[in-house]
Amino acid sequence: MTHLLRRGKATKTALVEDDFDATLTELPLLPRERIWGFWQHSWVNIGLAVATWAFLQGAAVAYYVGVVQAIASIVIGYGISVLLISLAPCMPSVKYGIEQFVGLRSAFGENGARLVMVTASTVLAAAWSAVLAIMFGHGLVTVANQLFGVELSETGTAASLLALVAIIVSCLILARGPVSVEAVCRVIAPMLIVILVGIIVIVFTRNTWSELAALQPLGGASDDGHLSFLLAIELNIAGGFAWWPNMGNLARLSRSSRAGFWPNWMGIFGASVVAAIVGALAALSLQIDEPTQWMIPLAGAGIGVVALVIVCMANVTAILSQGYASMVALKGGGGRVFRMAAWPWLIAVILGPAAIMVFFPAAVYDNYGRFLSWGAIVLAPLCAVQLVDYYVMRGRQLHVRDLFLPPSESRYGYWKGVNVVAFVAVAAGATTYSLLLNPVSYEPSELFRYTTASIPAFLVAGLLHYVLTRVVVQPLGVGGYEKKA
Amino acid sequence: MDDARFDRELQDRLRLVDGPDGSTITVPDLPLRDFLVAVISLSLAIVALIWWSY
Repeated sequence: MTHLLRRGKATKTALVEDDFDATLTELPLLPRERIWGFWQHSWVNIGLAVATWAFLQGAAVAYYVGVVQAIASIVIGYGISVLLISLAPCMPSVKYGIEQFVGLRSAFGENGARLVMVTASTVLAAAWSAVLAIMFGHGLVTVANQLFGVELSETGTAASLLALVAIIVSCLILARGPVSVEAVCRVIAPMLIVILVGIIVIVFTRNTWSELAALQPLGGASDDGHLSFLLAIELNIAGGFAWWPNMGNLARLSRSSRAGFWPNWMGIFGASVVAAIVGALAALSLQIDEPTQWMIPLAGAGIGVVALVIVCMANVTAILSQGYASMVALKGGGGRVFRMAAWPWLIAVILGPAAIMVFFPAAVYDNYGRFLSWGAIVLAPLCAVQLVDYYVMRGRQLHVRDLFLPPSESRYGYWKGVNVVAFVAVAAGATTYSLLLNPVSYEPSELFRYTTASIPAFLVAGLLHYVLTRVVVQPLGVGGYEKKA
Repeated sequence: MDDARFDRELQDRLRLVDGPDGSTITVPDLPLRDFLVAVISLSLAIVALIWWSY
């Protein structure tokens, strides 16, 4: 994504190898290659944050809580996770100009970080692409039902086939290279912002604040309001952590640490919060949890269908953004295999699994909250391990040359390029999460009502990484940790 | 990019990082004041929102 965002004037329609661009690689960036100040980084951040997944986020929150607690939980949840993500991976990436998964080698080892990167860039990107494609399918089924008077099921084969169309169209656009991706995104993104503003205007025109504040959650009034509030907060912490695989590589292009830190508060915090709140308001005022069902009741059949088509197109642009960012990450940080891989193969790696997942909407789309928690189970501990390793264990100092040396020569070599201790810490964090909030049933434990799940998972992973590193790794003299006098 | 060009670029950049002007390649850390502003602002917001929402 960073590549496409900085090369708006490119004239060729496919990636060209002779036009050297270090941002497409895992090379440490030179000062002249850091192209973003505060506002450039902020606008990119905002552009990525305002997407259709914010509607899903708002609707998921509205299932548990009413308007007031929805607003509070969205701000609290995103605030916590954005703060943590802004510290790691963003700060190491911006300080040294390094690709975020290259920076992760200091904590996980070269091969360990590559495993994390390939997993995050393929599994999560495929899952998110499937979610967006299914939303596309639902939207077009609604449009067809409205225009042609048919009664296609949103959960039927037609919706899945249309979702598959979204994936295929995305593949074709991606195959044409970054210029076509940018052209599509540039047209659709402003339209989506108009829709967001339109929803706010319509909701507040039809309802007073008192009426909105009195609305019941979509899941009905809960006997345990506190637990519902904590579940909503957890959803939003997980929603913020979902940005972890992408944000370091955006910050990498910033000219200063401040320009790499504060724009996250403008974009994945500010813009995501506003968009998710709009989603929650729409869901609660209509008492409908499916975003594609909001437009026609809100704006009428004519404008509503147009808005719905734009939302469908916006899902394609979000797939393109997600897919492109992941492919650039794979090409830049996936090692020789991915660096030499042809572009179509990378598209197949990212979107191939999504093309299958659209036929199983219950796995991701219908259970959005569970899907988010599957990501947070791993991402919160990953963030914790990197944060503790970089700030506490290494005092914000990395040896850049060693990040690129083979494991046998690097101080970050660990055991054949894998820091087992870091993975143990992540596993412990993931287990903690699972014990507090069952990722399959989404049933919280008794303790969850006091702790949430992501925060303890983060704390356990970070603490265990610290203890095991001090007790096991450091005495063995591996990992390049400075020995205490 | 082929391996040879990548390796050449990497070595050039690592020489710059390791050289006496290495500090011009990296950017200074985030000032502690910025971190504290973010943490304190977020903490106050959380307290206010919890108070508002109950």
